[in-house]
Amino acid sequence: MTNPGDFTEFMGHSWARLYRTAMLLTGNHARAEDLAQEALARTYAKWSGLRDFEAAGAYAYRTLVNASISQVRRRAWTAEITTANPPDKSAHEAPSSGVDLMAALADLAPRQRACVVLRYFLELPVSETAALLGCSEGTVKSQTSDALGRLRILLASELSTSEGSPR
Amino acid sequence: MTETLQRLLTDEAEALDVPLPDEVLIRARGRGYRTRRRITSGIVSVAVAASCAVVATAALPGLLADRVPQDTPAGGWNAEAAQSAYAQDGAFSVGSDIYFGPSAAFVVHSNDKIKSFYYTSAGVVVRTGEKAYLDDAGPSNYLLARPDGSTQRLQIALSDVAPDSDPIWPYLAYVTSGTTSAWVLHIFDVEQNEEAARVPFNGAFTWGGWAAPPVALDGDHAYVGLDDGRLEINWRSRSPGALDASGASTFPVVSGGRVLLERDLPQPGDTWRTEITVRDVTTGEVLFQQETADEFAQLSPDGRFLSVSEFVMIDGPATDGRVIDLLDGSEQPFAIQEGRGWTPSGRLMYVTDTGVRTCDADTGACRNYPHQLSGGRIKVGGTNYES
Repeated sequence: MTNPGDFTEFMGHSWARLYRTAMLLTGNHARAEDLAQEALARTYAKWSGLRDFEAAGAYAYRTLVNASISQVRRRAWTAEITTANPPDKSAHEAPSSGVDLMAALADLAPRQRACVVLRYFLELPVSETAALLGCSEGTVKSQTSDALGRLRILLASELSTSEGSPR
Repeated sequence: MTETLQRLLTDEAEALDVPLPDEVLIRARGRGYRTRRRITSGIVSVAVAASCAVVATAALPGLLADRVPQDTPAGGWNAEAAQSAYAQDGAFSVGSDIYFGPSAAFVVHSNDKIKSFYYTSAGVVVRTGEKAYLDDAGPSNYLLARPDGSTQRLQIALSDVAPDSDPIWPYLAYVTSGTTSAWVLHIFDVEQNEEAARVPFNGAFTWGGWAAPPVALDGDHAYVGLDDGRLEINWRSRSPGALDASGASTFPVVSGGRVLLERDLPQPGDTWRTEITVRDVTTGEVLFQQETADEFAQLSPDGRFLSVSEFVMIDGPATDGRVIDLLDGSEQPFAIQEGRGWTPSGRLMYVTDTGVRTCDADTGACRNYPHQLSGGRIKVGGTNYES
């Protein structure tokens, strides 16, 4: 059982990676910050019932990923109500690698994008990715395969040294 | 390919400027979810604050409210229509505009953001502050917006507390820390802009994180959420009464003589179910009990209906909810987009993807108030915590 005083430590430990994950999922700074806050807020609401930091982390990432997918599904609605905070394009304008990775990720379906981020940024195995997304391992594999196929086209020059199908 | 992709993702992520987390906001939002689980005022609520400061009468810096011609019929403000609209369909805001039904709008001119509404018989009390979410450190300011088109800044300024009101009375209830007692319950008459009653009481309060215990107001009775139970106080007779242990360390939600209790039921895999119970607040008789998915409930102002839905993700998809008639247990479905609450008359009120809808909980007949969503986030009355 987690201790109430430990939440600050958990937040400090997990914030940056949650935010970075949210950025890869959304490509929008404001939305990423909101998602990371949302994930931690919901974790805080459940704090007394979470066994330990590992359980808290799993809950936070599950919330983050599912919230991001929900947001994308509702992109039109979101765009309407967030006109005061227009989408941040900086990640698109200044890709750190010289490759417009964010633009390529944005071209993926929400669940495909989530599979890519969970599998290759968080480096989660298929089983944990499936658990976080609430789907079967087979779905994760097929979504990941489809995503990689799409990215292979979108990032052709950077990914020219293909290593085969997803693990 | 996957190793290259891993490198690209890592490089992209590591190059980001990560903002600092706002722990106060995160805890506040989290507490809002927790609070919504455990209560959610039916409609009006009063609150008290530990640091209750008197606001200078003459000076109203920062917050002025005016009628605006927007959507107002030719000839100006229709007080009769606004009164009817308020009673039937409550109040909601779109950005900084406050609406009574479709035809009346106030606009809040200030840097303050609208936090919440508290329905009273004198009009809607609008809580504002620097942040749009409820439980920041404060201060929160309170403004009475009357259906006749007038407004009045209330002479209270509270910090992070959880007030409540009863829509059929002109009072706002709240708690502050006391000098000769641990706490003081205040009943503030918003119509007269003066305090109507003050009741000192004692009890431990450590569970909620507010500056003072949260309170529910139901007629002559206030209910305070202490560590050891829900303390009943008859504020007219100034007498603290019984402590009900079933309400220990929970946000009190009492409407129409009924108390709503919600309890988390942890499940395998760090998931939850919720046990929703409605009791007669006097006798303790269980009137309704249901184990549901991870949901939260709200009592209607008269205590007859219960609205239940899952948590609604910010900017997320519509969520299926239902209204339960506590008389016979019958249910009606509804799809909630964002906030939901009740109107003073007991109509269900919620945000759809095109505006605000209020529905007769008995018949299911609804009225829609379309609004341009680009005007800002919509907040509805009849619910305390929106975080």
